[in-house]
Amino acid sequence: MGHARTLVVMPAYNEEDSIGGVIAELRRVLVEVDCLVVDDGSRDATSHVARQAGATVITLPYNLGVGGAMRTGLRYATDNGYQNVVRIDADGQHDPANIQDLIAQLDMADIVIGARFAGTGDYEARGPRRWAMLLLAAILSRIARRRLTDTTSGFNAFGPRAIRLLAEHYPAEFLGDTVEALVIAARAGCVITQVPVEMRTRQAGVPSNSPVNAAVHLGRVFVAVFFALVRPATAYSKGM
Amino acid sequence: MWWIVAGLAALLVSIFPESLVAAAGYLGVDVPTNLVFFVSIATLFFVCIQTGAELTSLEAKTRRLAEALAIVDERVNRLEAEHDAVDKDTKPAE
Repeated sequence: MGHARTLVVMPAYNEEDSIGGVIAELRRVLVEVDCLVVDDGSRDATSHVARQAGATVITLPYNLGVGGAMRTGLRYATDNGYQNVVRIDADGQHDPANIQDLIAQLDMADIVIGARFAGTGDYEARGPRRWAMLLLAAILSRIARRRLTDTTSGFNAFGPRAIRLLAEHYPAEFLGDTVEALVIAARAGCVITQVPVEMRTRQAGVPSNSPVNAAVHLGRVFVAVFFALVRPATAYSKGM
Repeated sequence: MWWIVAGLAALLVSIFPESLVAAAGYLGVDVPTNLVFFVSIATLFFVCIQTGAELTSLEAKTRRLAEALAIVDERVNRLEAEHDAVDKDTKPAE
């Protein structure tokens, strides 16, 4: 326990059908990482299945949202002295084989995004969702002074600096969380870069947002990003 | 805080009703009762804002507690398991 330098954090909410397989695959592909499942107050057997599969499990007493789960994971990482944290979804959309690629980039950056549209794979979003994503990507690229194409990706790697910062400041808003976290990190001076990854279809479970909800959430993302931008940079000084 | 201000004002007006009329005249409010309504609504508005702000900070605090609790919980379980394993090893076989 605690000897690996990298911690894979999997926020999970009612993912009992897929999480076992994801953990098993992760352990098969990468033996030298520890796996932490943050069970975000699931009402099913997520915790039990994850523990059976050999992951460390933190069970939140009630649903905090992905942001809360991530912050718990990052805090666990700082408490236990992990160098890097990789966030991966519990539904099997992300290929654990890509984790190495993300970690490799951490030498040069504080945050590495596993980007879905950067050439590899055939994941594609359409309509308003696509426009919103393009707009967010454009905004983020400006703030980070680096070309980023996929800012809402849930597949990210965090280096030591980003872990310290975000264990304190990881935002709570659902779906806004990844984008806002990037804005916060960029404004605090973290270097953000991306690596193309391939997306797979979900192993089980339903997407956590319907198109209508997605539109509402994207609206909230913009509000969240706006506030993250106008807040004075000193607000994020703690933990750096 | 705002409740205290409102309470004191109400007390003052109940003891000296003329003060309300005087205040209304001074502020240029024709019907003194309207001043009561205006001040009440303004007070409620501020109370509402204050409560909202309070709620936000409480939410943030319970969130932190939940996170800390979950981390400690995992730690206790892990240490207990290790402890039990050690107990089993050191106890002489009977």
